[in-house]
Amino acid sequence: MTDVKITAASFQKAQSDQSKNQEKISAPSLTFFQDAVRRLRKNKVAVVSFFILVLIAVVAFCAPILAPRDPNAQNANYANLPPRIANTDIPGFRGKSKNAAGVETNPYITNNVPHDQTYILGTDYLGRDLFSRILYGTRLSLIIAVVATVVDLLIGLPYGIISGWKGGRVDTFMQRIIEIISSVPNLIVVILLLLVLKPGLSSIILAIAFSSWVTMARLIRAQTLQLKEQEYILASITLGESTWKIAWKHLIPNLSSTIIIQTMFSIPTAIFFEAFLSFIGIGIPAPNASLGTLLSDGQKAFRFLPYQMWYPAAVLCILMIAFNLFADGLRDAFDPKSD
Amino acid sequence: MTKYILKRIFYMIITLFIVASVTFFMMKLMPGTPFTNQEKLSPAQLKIMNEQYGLNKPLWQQYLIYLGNLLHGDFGTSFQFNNQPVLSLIMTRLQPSLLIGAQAMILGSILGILLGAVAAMNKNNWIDSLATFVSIVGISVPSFVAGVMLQFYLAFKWHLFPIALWNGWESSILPSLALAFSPLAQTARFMRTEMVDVLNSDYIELSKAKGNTRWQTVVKHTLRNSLIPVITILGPLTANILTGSLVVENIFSIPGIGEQFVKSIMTNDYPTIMGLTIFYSLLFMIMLLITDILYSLIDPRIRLTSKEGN
Repeated sequence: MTDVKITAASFQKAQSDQSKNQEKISAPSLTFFQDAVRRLRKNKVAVVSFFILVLIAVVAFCAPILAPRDPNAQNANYANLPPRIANTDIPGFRGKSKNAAGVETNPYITNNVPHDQTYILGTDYLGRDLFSRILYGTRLSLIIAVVATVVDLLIGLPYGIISGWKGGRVDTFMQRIIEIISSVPNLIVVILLLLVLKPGLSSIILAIAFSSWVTMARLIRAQTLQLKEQEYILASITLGESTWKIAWKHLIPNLSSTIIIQTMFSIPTAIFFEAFLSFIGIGIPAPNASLGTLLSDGQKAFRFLPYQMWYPAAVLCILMIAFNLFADGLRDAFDPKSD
Repeated sequence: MTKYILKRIFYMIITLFIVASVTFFMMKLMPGTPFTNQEKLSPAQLKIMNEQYGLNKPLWQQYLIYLGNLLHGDFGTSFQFNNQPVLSLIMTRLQPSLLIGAQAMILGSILGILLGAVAAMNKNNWIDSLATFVSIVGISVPSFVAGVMLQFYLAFKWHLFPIALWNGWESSILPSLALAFSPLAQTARFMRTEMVDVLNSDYIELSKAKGNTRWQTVVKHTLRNSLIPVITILGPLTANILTGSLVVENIFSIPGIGEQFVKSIMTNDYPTIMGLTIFYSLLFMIMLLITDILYSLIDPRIRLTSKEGN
């Protein structure tokens, strides 16, 4: 056996920062929202839909600047002119249409419309410029949908929080009310309300909001029930925080993803309701244009002047598809479990 | 189970009572009377009319009479439409609506289930994207836009189907198609999510390990298990079809209850509006009840948990 000499030289100094390196955080830590936005930006479909929505909203809200004519100005001589862009030759914009017998005519010539007059999307049966009407109509539909959704949130959020937070008898009672409202199909509720209220913008908004807050309240309640059991809530109760403050500081921030997602789904539903109501004739009163009234006017002349229905329908469909796709993207981004 | 159903039916009756009361008072608040649309009536004539319809009695009496009649299945008499009893008005118009609604529901849900299943089996490739796109379009495009488009192309341009009116079964095809879009889209979406979940579960792995072919696994295990939750959207789908029918029946001039409802709104025909509201709510609640019963019958796990809950 030989002696093993252990000297200082056989040792090596350990790197003191090794453990530090392992635990070093390489990426900046993200808050929940930053993380969600990051995921959302990766979703191409959602990003494209978002830009389409922004574009439509900007164009619609600039209607007073962009619209070439007054949307409600009638001109009986220029009624039912098909789309035409002056001094160009693009198919579909030549100002020609087929009459009832199927013969192609040019109403621009028969009605002596000056050659440089441009009606990009034609005119309706009262000679109103369809392009201007679509711009204003989209704006009105968007306003109705957004305001209705805000009102819906203002009712649904407190209702859901109170119901979930209080629990017990209050909860049972509040849930019974919700059950009764939701046992009547939504649109029937809207129609009945609209019949009672004076026809007009605010009634439509109220009616739509009143029928859609139920979904919001239900979701919020379910979430509140879960959040109520969390330790940090218990901690704030123990610290003597008032219920109001707990709701503001703890519940609402934690409910925010549910709120955002549900809001984004409520807007297209509200657009649909408005279009539906105007289509059956109890929506926006004439002469104002909304997407629904444009559709219903267009539908009456659809067989021979299909463009009067086509363009509003296209705008409505694009708007609805973009909203739904964007909302889908938001849901995936905020709730990664769902995918 | 029986106890549960009885309890649900009891709640349904209470709900119907509340719906009936609320609609009754709402209709009383409505501006305009049913006689505003008629030609000028002398005060004496108006008085006779009001007496005939019981409109001169105090509100609470009218309310009690209305509720009493409801219990006898008497929904009142229509103010317009030849003074028919509301119930018979609904009954004569029920058949077209039921036919169209049922066809749309069956067609929509079967196609939706297939579409969703195909999408889930091809998860994350182009078939899936296509199916997702179809269902988004189906959810986004309102049934009245779809209806008008179908009418224009299939009926007006290509003469494949009757344009409108109710002449035999051919007339029901286009409206059913228009109404089927939304159930199709919703079932497809739901089915896809469910099936993706099921495909990731252990028993599917086991079935593969046993040497079952892909199709055996899909038919025997995947489809059956993913179909169970799809039943839960039967209720919302019914609501969609009900509301869709209001306007689709108008587009195709079909003498159904949806068209009647819109007509009654236009003519301030309170009894018919009230009757149809109650009818729609009843139908909707029955569908929700059937959904729940079906669900617990098909999935034994649900029954178990409800027993434990009791």
